[in-house]
Amino acid sequence: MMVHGFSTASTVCTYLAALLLMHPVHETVCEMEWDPQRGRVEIALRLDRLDEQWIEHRYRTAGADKETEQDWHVPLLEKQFLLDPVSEGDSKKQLSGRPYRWIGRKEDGAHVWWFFETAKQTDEAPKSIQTRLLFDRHSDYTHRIQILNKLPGGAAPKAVVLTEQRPKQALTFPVAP
Amino acid sequence: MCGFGFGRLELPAFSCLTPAAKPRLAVILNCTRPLLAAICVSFCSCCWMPLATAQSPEAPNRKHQDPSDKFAQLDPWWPTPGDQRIASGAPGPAYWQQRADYEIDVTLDDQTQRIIGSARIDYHNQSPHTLSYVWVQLDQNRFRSDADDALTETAPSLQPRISFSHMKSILARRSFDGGYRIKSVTDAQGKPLPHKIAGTMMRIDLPEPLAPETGTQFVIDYSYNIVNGKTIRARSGYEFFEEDKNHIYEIAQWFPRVASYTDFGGWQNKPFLGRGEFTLELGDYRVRITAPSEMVVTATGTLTNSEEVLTPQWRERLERAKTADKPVFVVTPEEAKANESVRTETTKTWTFDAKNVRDFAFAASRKFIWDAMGTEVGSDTVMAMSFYPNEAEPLWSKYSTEAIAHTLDVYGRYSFEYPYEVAISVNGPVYGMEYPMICFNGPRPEDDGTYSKATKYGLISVVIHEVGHNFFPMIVNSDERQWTWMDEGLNTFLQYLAEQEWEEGYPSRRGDPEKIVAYMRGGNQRPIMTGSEEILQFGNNAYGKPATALNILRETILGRELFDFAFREYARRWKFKRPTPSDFFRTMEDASAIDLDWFWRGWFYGTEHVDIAIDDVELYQIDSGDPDEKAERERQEKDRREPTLSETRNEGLKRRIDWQPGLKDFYNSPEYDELKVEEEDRKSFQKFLDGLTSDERALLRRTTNFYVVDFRNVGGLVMPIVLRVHYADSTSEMMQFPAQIWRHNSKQVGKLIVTDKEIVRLELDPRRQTADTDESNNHWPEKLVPSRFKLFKDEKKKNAMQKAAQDEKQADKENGAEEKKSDDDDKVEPVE
Ligand SMILES: [Zn+2]
Repeated sequence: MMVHGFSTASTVCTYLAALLLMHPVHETVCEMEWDPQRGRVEIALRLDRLDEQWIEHRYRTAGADKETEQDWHVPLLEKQFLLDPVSEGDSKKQLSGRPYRWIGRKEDGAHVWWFFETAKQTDEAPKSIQTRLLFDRHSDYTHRIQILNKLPGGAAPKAVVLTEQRPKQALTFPVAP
Repeated sequence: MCGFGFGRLELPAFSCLTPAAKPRLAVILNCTRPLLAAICVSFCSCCWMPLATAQSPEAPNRKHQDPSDKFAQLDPWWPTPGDQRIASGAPGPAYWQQRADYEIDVTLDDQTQRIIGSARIDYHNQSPHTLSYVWVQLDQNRFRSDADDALTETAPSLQPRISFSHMKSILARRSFDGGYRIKSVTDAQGKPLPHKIAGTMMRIDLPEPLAPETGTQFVIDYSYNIVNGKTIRARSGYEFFEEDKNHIYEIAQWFPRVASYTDFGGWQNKPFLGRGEFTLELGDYRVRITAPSEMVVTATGTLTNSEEVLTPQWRERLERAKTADKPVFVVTPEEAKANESVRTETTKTWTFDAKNVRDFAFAASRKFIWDAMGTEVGSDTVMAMSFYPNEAEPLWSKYSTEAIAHTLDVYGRYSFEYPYEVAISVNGPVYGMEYPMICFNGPRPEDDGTYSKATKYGLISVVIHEVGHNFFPMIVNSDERQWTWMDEGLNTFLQYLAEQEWEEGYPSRRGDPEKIVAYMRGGNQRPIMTGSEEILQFGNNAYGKPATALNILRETILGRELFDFAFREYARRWKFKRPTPSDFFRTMEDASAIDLDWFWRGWFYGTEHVDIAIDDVELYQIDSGDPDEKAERERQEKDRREPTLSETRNEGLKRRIDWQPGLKDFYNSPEYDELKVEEEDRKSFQKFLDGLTSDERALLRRTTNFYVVDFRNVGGLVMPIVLRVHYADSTSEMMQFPAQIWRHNSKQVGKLIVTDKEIVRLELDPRRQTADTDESNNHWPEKLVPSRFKLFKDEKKKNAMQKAAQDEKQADKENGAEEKKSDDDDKVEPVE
C-alpha cells in the first residue's frame, strides 16, 4: 500500500454547496488547434454560464486587485487547465504547464466561450493535458477536448475526455503532411 | 465497385432518367472534378438484389460494401405486441396497472431533524397474477454507510489536491447516521408481518397470496434522520441558516413506498443508487404533517384544513390570488422575516389530500414567503404557488410563479391539460428535483439581492423543467430507474419549447442541434437506450441528446404538424399509465405514418454522429445527337484549347512537307476537315428525329443541366440531406432529401439535381438543423472554415479597428486632421 498526502484547496466557499446539481450539466467543451506557423495552441473553451459564474465567485475574489479578465483567467487556467504539466518543487503538489495568454470571452446563449492561447512560441505542440477545472464544484464534470487539426485523409482526431477519475491524458496533434 | 463496365460517359446512367430516349440519347461529360472509382454505385444500386437468406439484419453483411442495414426494422428488438400493449403503441384492451393508496401521519422534528411516521398502505392487485409478497422501496437506506450507493462509488482523484467542500461531503457521508429505522410492519389489525430488508428494498411476506382483483393493507411505523442537503448530495434534505438558526426542509422519498409491479418488468426492485430515480404506483394520498406551529408547510395535494393552520388574512389573500393576474403574497416577505424568530413550542397538523399521484413530497420552514396566482387550465383554475425565504428575493417573487403558469400553459398544449389543483415551486437546498404537484428549485440571488443573467435564466429554466416533470413522468408514468430519457429527454425537449416561448433568444442550454455537436462527436458514450445507472455522461445522454433528437424529428423530419400530433397522441394515450420505450417509438410512427425505425436506431440505440460531406459534383448535359451540333461543339472545344508548350515553341518551325514537294496529299489539303459532317450522318439523324414523338424531340432541345452530387456519410448516423443550392443568377434554393436516400448504401450516395440554371455553390445544412459535427466538409467548392478561435480573434480585431476608426474620426473632429493613429493590431496583440 502506498500512502499519499493531499491538501485541500485553500478557498472555502459556502456558496458552492447550494448549487449541487441534481440535473447535471457538468461538462465543458474545448476546441484546440495547433498553429504550427505561430507555434501556439489556440483554445476555445465552452462553459455553462452558471459554471463560469461559480468559478468567478470562487476565484476572482480569491486574490486582491483581480480586476481584468487577463488577471484572473490566466492564473486560474494555468493552475487548473494544464498543457504538458510538470511537478513544481519536491512536494509534487503543485503542477505547472504552458503559460497562457487571454484573448477574450463571448457569450453564446446559456454558454460562454473562453478564448486563450499558449503564450510562448514553441516548435512542438503539447503532448498531454491535465485538468482540475470544476471538480471542486462537482466530481462528475466531463471535459471534452476536440483537436481541430485534421488527420491525414481529413478526419478529425477522436476527442479526449477528462474526468476526475482520469484528469490527465495524452494529446496528439496531427502534423500536416 | 460496380459490376458494369461503363463509366460516366455512357448511356445507361442517363437511361434511368428518360427511358423514352434511351436508345439514342448520348450524354456528354463536363465534369468539374476528377472521377472517383466508386461513383457509379448510386446508379447501379438497382442491380443489387436483396439477399435471400435468413440472416439477421443486425449481422454484418459481407456481400455489400455497406455491411449494415440502417433501415432494418426494430420489431425484433421490441416486445411482441399483446393485449396489454398493442402494436400501434397504445395501451391494449387488457392493459392493467397496480394501485396503492396511502394514509400517512408524519411528524417533522425540528430539534433533531428527524422524520417520524406511520404509513398505512392500501395495495390493490389489479394484475391478473397472484402475489405472495410485496416489495417496498426504502430510499433513505441509500444514506446508510453500508449502502450499495456508497460502496460502488469509484475513487475520486485526490491528487494533487481535493476541494474543501468535496472533502467535507465525503466525511459527512461517512459520519451521517442515515437510513430508515423500521419500527414495525403490521397488517391492518396490528398483527406483525414478516419482512426482509435488502438494501433499499423491503419484502413484506403476505399471510396469504394476494389473488387478482383483491387488495391488502399494511402499516409501517418508521423514522429516519434527515440528510443535510448542503453537504450530502441528495434529492431532499434540510438547509440550515446560521444567522437566524432556521431550517428549510425539503422532504421527499420519505416514506416506505410500494415498488411498482408491471406487465413488462414484474417488480421494479432494482436498488436505488441515487441516480435512476423511481417509478411508483398511482394512488390517492391523505397525509397529516405535524410541524412546529410557526412553520409554513406545503405539499403535494390540496390543503384540506386551511381554517386550522392558516391565518384568516392568509386565507383571504389566497382566495384573492385565485383570480389575480399577478402573483399575490399570501405570506409576505415581512411576515416571513418576522416569523424567523418565533418559537411557540407547539405544533400544528396540516392535512393534504392528493388524488391519482405516484408519490408525495412536502416542504416546511419558518422562513417561507408564499405567493400564489390562479392560472386557467381549460375550464379549471390551477393555483401556481411558490415558497421561498427572503434570501431568494427579489428573484423569486418575480419569476417562480410566473414560470409555473407558463409551463402549465405550454406543456398543456403539447400534451394534455394539467389535471391537478396546485403546482408548487419551493426554494431550498436542492437545486432541482420534481415530485407530483411540487418541486424543489435552488437558484438564488447574491447576498446583496443582485443577480446575474445566468442565475435569472437558471431559475426560470429549472422551474420550467421541474414543473414540466408533472407531465413526464409523474402523469405519463415511465420508469426512470430503467429509462431516464423517457422523462428527462421528453421533458427537456418540452422545456426547450417552453423557454423559446418565454422570450425571443432565450438562452436555452439544450435542444438546439448545435449544442449537442461536441458530445455527439466525442467518445466515452453509451446509447440513449441504456439503463440509468450505466449511462456515461448523464446530462448529455439522458437530457441533451434525446431532447435534441426530438427537436430534429419535429423540425426536420416530420415537420411540426405531424410531430405535434403524434407527440400529443403519445402523451394522451399514456396519461396516468405506464409506457415503455417501444410504446413511444410505435406511437410516434403510428400517428405520423412515417417509418422512423432508422431514426430510433441511429439516435436512440447507437452512438454514431451526423457528419455528411459533399464529395464530388459532376455536370451532365443533353447531347441531341445532331452531327452538326456535335461537330461545332468539338470545333469550339478545339479552338478553346490552349496550345501546349511544345506547340508554342514549335511555332514557325520549318517542316519537311513544306519544303519537300510531293509529300502533301488530300489529307494535307484545306478541303480535308476532320470534323466535317457527312451527309450520311445527317440523313441518319433526320431519320432518328422522324422516329421520335414531339415530346421526345422537345426533350432533345433542352439545355437542362444534370448535376450529380456525391455525398459521403462520414459520421455514420443516417439523416436527411439538407442542401442549399446557389445558382449563377445569384438565386438560391433549399432542397431536402429524406434519410431514406441512404437506404441502399448508408456510406455514400449520388443525387441527381436537374436544373436549367448553373450551380455555382452548394452548402450542406446551412441552418445547422441536423447536428452535423463537421462544417468543413459541407461546402462545394471546398471552403476553408476558420476555427471558432480564429473567427473570434478576427472579429475582435475588426471591432478594435472599427473602434479605432471611430476614435480617429472623433479625434479628427476635435483636433483637426493633423494627428493620425495607426497599428490596430497592437490593440489585440500585445507585443510579446
Ligand atoms: Zn429532470
